[in-house]
Amino acid sequence: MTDKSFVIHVCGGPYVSLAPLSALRFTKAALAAGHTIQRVFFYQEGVALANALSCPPQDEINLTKAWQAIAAEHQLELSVCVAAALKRGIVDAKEAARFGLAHHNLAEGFVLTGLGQLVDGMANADRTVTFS
Amino acid sequence: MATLHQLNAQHQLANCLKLLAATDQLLLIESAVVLAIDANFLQQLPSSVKVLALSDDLQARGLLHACPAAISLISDAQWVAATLEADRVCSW
Repeated sequence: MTDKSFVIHVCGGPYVSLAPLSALRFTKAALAAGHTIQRVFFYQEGVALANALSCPPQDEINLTKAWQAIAAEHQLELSVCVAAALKRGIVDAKEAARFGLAHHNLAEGFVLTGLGQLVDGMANADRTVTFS
Repeated sequence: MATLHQLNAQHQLANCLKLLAATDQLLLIESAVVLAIDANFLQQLPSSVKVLALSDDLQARGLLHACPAAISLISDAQWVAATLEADRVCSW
């Protein structure tokens, strides 16, 4: 099958759903088959993956680090819905300054974007696969 | 225009059935794979609907050998291929 492009849409959060892990498995399998991941878009509870302060036990998978690793290896865009993130306390330096917050916690490799990035991906990729 | 229905929870089956067309495929993932051992599950579907289940998700729950032959076990690589063979993917 010729190279196709995917948008991976992660709506379920870690520890409350299997969405982040299933999406990671799907992404790895798609990349292994030679396909392109146009964008990974984290939305709703899925934005919790972008929290740099989460510290799972060492004998459990660290899903944030797993996504960072695959993104670094394959130059994937890890887009995080800014509105979903802000209301859950996940902010980058710019948003922390804007809201007068003392800290920021957006994990490295993730970027705060808008829903327009999801729509753009859905319009241009061959398939959008949602994990909730 | 066939749709791949990706079902990840048993409780969404009733909603999924309302939109499941005869030419569609139904893929069981995550905890929805337990439907594979529900004696009434397959009878609820149009007979032409192809049912798939993620092999790794069945194995993780100790259900791999209890899965009936009418359900096709697929790898993660086949999962990716199934999303491309269908015209669209609907996640429940």
